[in-house]
Parts: sequence; C-alpha cells; structure tokens
Amino acid sequence: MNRIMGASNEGTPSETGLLAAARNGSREAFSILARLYQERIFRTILRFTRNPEDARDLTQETFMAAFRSLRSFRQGAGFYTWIYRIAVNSTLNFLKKKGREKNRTEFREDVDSISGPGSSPEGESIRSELGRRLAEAVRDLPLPFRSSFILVVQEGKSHADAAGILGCSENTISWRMHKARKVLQGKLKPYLDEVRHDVP
Amino acid sequence: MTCRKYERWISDNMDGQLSDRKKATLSGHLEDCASCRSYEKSLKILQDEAGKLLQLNVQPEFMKALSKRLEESLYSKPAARVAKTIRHAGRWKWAWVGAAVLVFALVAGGIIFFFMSKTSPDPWPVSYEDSLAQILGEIGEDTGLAESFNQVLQASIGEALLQAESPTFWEGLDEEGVELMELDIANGREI
Repeated sequence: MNRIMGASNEGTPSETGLLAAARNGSREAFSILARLYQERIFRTILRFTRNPEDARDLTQETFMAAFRSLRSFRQGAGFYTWIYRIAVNSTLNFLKKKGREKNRTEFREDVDSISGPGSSPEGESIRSELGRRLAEAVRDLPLPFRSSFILVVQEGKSHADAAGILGCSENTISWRMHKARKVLQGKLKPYLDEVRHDVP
Repeated sequence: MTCRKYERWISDNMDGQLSDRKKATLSGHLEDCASCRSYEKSLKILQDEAGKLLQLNVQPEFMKALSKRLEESLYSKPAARVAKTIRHAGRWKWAWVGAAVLVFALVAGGIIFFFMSKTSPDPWPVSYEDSLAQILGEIGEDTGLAESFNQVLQASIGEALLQAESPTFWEGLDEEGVELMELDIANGREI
C-alpha cells in the first residue's frame, strides 16, 4: 500500500503520492483522498443547497467528476482547491438548473444549525429570531450575491479567491458583498435594532 | 465623498480587503458620522449571526452513509471503466504518437515522390554536334550514304515540325511546296 501511495516519513500516505497513484487509475488511492475531504466538501455544498440530500448527491457527483477528470488536474494547484471549485461550480449549476432558490426546505434533524450563546434569555430569543430571519434572507438573495456571501462570510474566502471560484473580478465580489449586506441590513433592520439595544 | 462610498468601505473592511490608507480615512469618517457608525454596528451583528449559521452539526451516521455511497460509486462498473481508461491513457498516447509519425512519413514520402517524378530527365550524354560529327565522319566520301542520311534527316525534321505545338510547317517544305504556297497566298486562298 505504501508503495502505491508514496508514504511520507510518518507512514501516513502523502497527498502527492495518493494523487500520483490516483492519476494512474488507482481507485483505492482516490478513495483515501475522497475520505480526507468529503466532509469539508459536503459542508460547503450544504451551505449553498441547505438540503442534505441534495448536498449528499452533489458531493458524490463532485468526487466522481473529479475522478473522471483527474488527468486534467495540474499538480501546481492544491487538490482540495481544485475539488472545491468543482464542488462550488457543480452546486451553482445545480441551483441554476433546478431553480431551487425558493421554497427550500430547512435543515433536518440530522443536519441543523447551532445558535450561539445569547447574553440573556431574552437576548437569546431575539438573536435566535434574527438568525432564523437571516437564514431566510440569505436564501432569498439572488444566486450571484448569495454565492459571494457564502464564500466570503461563511467559507472565509478572500475576495480574490471568491472571484477565482466564481469567475468574476475582485471588484465584482466587493460590490456584491456590499449590496448583499445592504439588502440584508434593510430587511432585518427591526431585528437588528432590537439586538443592538441588547448589545452594549 | 458621500456616506454611500463609506458603506462600501465598511463592507470591504469587514472582509479584510481595505488598504491601510482607506482604513485610516474610514476611521476618521466613523468618528464624525453617527449614521455610518450605526450601519457598521448592524453589519457586525449580521456578520456574527451569519457565522453562527454555518456551524452545522452533521450527524456522524450521515457522514458514514455518505462515505459508503462514495465508496460504492468508486467501485461501480462505470468507475472501473474510467479507471481502465486512465490506466491505458499513457499507452494510447504513445500509439497516437506512433501513428502521427507514420502518417507524417507517408505524406512526406508522397510529396518527395511527386516532385521527383516531375523533374526533367538528365540531358543526352552526347551532344548533338558531337554525334553529327561522328556520323559525318562515318559517311565520309560515300555520296549514296550521304544522300540517305539527308533524307532521314529531312524526314525527321518534318516529323518534328508537324508534332510541334505551333508548327511553322512551311519550314519543312521543299522549293516546289513553298512556290505552291506563295501561289495560294497570291490567289487569296486560305492556308
């Protein structure tokens, strides 16, 4: 196994070794790579779809698409970055095709959101309401704005990285972020005012 | 500069995308502008809440099921075909290179053969003057042989003129023939 995967000094398979083996058609090596990143990819997709079944299908599609086009992968770029782009693009295509921006189901029992600690029970309630409204408001943003918002705020990408993934300029991302925030702030103003009074 | 511009700067600043110079300018503006301070505070609350939304609690069973599905699809028949294609891709590459070289050689050979066949053959190794001098030497004083040679020569000249693309046929005529032709011209007949 180590011979196939090019094990590192610690005995754990190195990504480069796994990639080299996978590029030669080793499904075993690719399976290990998939296990390394599947959860992160699934969570990213879930942020876009907010539907675990869709996210699960898209995660599977993403890895299969990656396996099929593995020979086109250039070693210079990181494998995770490459597969992350495939995942985001597949998800955006899926959302565009299915037109599922509206009437999306909320998280199910096995995949739900955790609310943060509030400063008081009353504050917790206001915050929790704000969180619910914010989730809805983000969901209602047009796809280009939503994808930019998710990538930058929720995935922590820089404007440059988000621009690279979405195929637009950094300036466009900056503008979309500004507009998205403006829209969200306008929609949630009453809740924000309440929370602001609660925050010192 | 209006507050609208600063609102965009506030957004950029939250993403860590604002230059130090702009940050200083924005900071100065925020000290003076209560409206922008309020806007920034609202965005910070939104940012905090958006951050909490992403803390997704995925059940381990769900991830195990996903892992199993991925494994199954990787070991399915279509994936096996893909793996086989990937493994043989290197061999096919060399086969294509070989085929390309072969095609190139055939085309180049064809072109060379085409141009070689169009080139004129080597000139006759013995010059006309030399061969004539040799024949005349052999004829010597033999008048009969000289006359026969003249006849053969005239016949071949006449034949060559008739075969030529634009034969000036009168050059092959004897005196009598030329006289007849002149007569025809004088009488206005077509030649």
